[in-house]
Amino acid sequence: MRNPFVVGSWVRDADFFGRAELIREILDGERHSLWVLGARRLGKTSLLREVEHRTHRSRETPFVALYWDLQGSADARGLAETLLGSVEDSEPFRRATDVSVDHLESLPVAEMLATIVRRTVRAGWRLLLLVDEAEELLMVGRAEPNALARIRGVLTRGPDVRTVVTATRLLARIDEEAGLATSPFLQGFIPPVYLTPLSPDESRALLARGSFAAEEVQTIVERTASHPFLLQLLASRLFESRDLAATLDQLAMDEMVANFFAVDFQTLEEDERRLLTEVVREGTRTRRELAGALGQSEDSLEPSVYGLTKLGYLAKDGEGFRLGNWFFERWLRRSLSAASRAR
Amino acid sequence: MSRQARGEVQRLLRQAQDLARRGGVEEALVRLAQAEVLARELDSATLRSVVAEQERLRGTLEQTREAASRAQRIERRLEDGSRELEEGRPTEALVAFNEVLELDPRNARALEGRTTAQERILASTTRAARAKSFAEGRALFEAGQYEQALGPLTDAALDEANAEARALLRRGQQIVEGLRRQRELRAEIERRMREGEQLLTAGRFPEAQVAFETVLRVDPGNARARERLGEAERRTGEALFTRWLPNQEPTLTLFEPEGAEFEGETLVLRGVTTDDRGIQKVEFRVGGQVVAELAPPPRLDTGEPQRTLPFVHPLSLEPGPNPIVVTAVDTGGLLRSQSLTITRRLRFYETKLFLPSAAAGAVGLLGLGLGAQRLRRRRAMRRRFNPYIAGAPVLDEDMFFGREKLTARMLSMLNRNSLMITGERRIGKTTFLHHLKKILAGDEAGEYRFFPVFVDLQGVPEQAFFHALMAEIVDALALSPATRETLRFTPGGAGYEARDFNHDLQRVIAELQTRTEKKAKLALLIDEVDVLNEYSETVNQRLRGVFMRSFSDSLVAVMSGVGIRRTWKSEVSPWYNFFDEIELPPFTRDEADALVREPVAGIFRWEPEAVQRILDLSRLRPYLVQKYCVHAVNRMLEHGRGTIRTEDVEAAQAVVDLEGARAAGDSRPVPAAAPGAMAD
Repeated sequence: MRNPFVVGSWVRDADFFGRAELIREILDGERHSLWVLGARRLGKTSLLREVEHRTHRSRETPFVALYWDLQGSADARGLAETLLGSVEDSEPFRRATDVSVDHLESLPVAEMLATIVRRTVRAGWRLLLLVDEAEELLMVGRAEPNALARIRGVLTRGPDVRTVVTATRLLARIDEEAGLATSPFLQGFIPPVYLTPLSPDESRALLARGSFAAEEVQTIVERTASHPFLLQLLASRLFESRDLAATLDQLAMDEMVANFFAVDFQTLEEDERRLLTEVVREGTRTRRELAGALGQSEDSLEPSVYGLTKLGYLAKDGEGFRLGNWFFERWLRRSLSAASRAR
Repeated sequence: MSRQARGEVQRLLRQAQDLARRGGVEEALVRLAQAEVLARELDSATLRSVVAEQERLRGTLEQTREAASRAQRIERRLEDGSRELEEGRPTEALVAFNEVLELDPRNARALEGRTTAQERILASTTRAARAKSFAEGRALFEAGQYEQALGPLTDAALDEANAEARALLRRGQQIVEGLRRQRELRAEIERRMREGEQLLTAGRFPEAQVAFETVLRVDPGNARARERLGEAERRTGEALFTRWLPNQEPTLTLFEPEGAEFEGETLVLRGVTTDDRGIQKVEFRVGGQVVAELAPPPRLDTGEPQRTLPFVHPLSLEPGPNPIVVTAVDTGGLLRSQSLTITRRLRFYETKLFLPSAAAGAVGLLGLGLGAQRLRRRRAMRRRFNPYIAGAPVLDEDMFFGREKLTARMLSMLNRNSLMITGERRIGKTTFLHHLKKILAGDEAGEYRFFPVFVDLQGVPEQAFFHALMAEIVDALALSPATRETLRFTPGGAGYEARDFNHDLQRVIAELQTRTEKKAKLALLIDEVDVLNEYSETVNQRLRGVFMRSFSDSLVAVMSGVGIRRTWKSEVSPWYNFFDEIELPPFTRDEADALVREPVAGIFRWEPEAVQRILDLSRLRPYLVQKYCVHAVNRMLEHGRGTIRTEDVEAAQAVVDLEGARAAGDSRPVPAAAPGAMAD
């Protein structure tokens, strides 16, 4: 039997686990603009690809889906290029709407989007636009705020188009940094919907593919706190080595994992990083203890605690909070001690 | 012989033309298949004349078949239409008559049937009902149910005002016709493939050749057909050439044992067999019983049978005389045998004379073994035999040692994951990628069929990155002309961007899927990815973007490099996070030991201390192991010895140190144990 776990690549269909409620909200909910906020490697791309896949296969849906990966766009021209690439990539979308690249080539990105919406509606559908790596809009907004405003105008056009953007919390800076003269970009997209780690049952369903012993499954779920990337990575390595203790040790010291945490940590706000640092130094802390240590009121601390818990950085521990998973805790401890040694 | 072959080609050509004139086009093509195989060995003009005749006859045959199939289809659908009319289903009748008119616009029966059906539909439906049919037809059409959509759209299209229904109906008819043709084509391909296999089994090779060629005409990327065609051509050729050059028995030479007596339970037979057509097997009999059989696998590069097979095979002997027969069999079924009788004498400790004669006998036996080895060694020394490779990647599988666990792990993971192999310079990353390419190409066990493509990024500038990738893909996969035409890639093309690459990749993957019944997986084996560290983040991100595409489940990458720069300034995901990483470690001691000993086993001897010294000095780095071996063996040869001694290794150390220092741009000797001493 070959290794059934997937590390790094997006998944869909039989390889996709969980997220039922979030998918219901995207497909059947009331909101036409959604920001799915998730930390790095929590499965944002997989979520969008799964939604796209289900939409293409559904006979009842009023939507036709188009997945748009903004990565590497850099500016408005680049956005147009990646959007064209998305249309070229999606045969089901082209078939359903009769849109071809020739209709769109050489249009500015906002007009391109408007044309796509118009032709989708004319073909009797509503557009479900699935925008991945939306942090790229920060760069576009800094350089070309007017282009960003025009794009926003199409994205939030109401029932004809439902837009789902995925991004880390860095996207929250867009209204500060882009300074649109019109409505704030995120108006309608907020409050964000959080992409959380998987539930323990969803994790167990995924791990069943590896035929691991029940105790091993339990340990994996606990140590990874059902973070999809860590879950798949640990399961994949264990599948090859069949030695859980050694694999845990290896992964805790793995450079790739350390880099993942380092990059992910940088997407957090300064206050959030301080909060997590406080927890790793002192162990489980209550809201009151955290507020005291950070010099804030419990109320002002609440949004950070809520967000960090949803994203899996923090976990409830009785009345208090501890770090979300064992690997993250080990990494943060190591980073802090390295930083203090450097000082 | 060339004159005979030319005469035969002309005879076959004449026969083919004669047969074609009398309507036996298929039989004529069989003659031309034989002529083609012969003509390939002659001049290009002869071959061109054969190929031109083949093209002409295939064109005729296709036209005849197409006309027959069309006539059959028209007749069948006319009958369908009439029956539907009689049974009160005018819509279905109209669909059938329309289909006939697509094939034959002036067909009177169809024109008449169409008018009748239209009248009946108009008489039995209202405008509102037809509008409803239009909505139903459009929904079915948009859901991709084109055949089901034709009925309601046919009704709706009868409304003069509903131009959209007519347009949709027209498109629906075209799509259904296209799908029907595809289905028929697929069925025809399967039928011809089955027929080809049956003909091959029956020994009717030229006929099988025609069957597989027919498949390739409609499905040029069909790898199985191509492979079977090669086999059919080879067998046709063999059968023809046998007339002038009858198959010869293989040659068989035994090097060892040299004496007629042997002491010990296990005798090692060493020898080689060769045959111009290929070795099917080598059989070993002791006392009339077959005790072992070697069947060499086909060559990895060409898939042809191996023509030379060296063998070293242990045989268990009974005390006393043991009649041994070694038989080599070639692919044509001819065989050559060598017989020998080896008398196994009891071991000294098994005889009463053990103690007094032990010492003398041991010397004698040793001498016997050493004698044979000395003979091989002398030849090797004359040729200055030195099989080690230092500096270039190892492409010869016989010189590839170790990494079994890693290979198995990669194979297991590559089904669903892209991987990055990291490791210090010269640890064997390139060699491993080449090895992996061969393993993936031959992998039959998994759910995927891999199509590996090796890409070396060294010296590729950022602007040419995607073009360089596609150039290697196009080169390595021998894409069909039909696919090539759909690509945006041109060999010298400038301005080839990520979007063009994605466009082309979709089409390449589509062709690969036609070559296998499994799920096709294009495996990009990308070497020297450290080059990406010098590229802009945008290009790196666009590379990641390739793996985010909908076709990326048919794509996998194995990259190798010293390390990826992990400083990441962009706000979006780091480009490198789509693969898992695996470090290529130095060899284990056992792997390094095998690399030292096995290439010269049976020819030269290594002093155990010399091997240990190399293992220590090289710190188990394969490149350094090879380098020490190269220099140590050279020094041994210069001294006219057949044993590599520790002193040879010590002398090699000085040379290796000097080369290491030069490569590092430093004239100082580099301590062997210092990390990085081997940087190239």
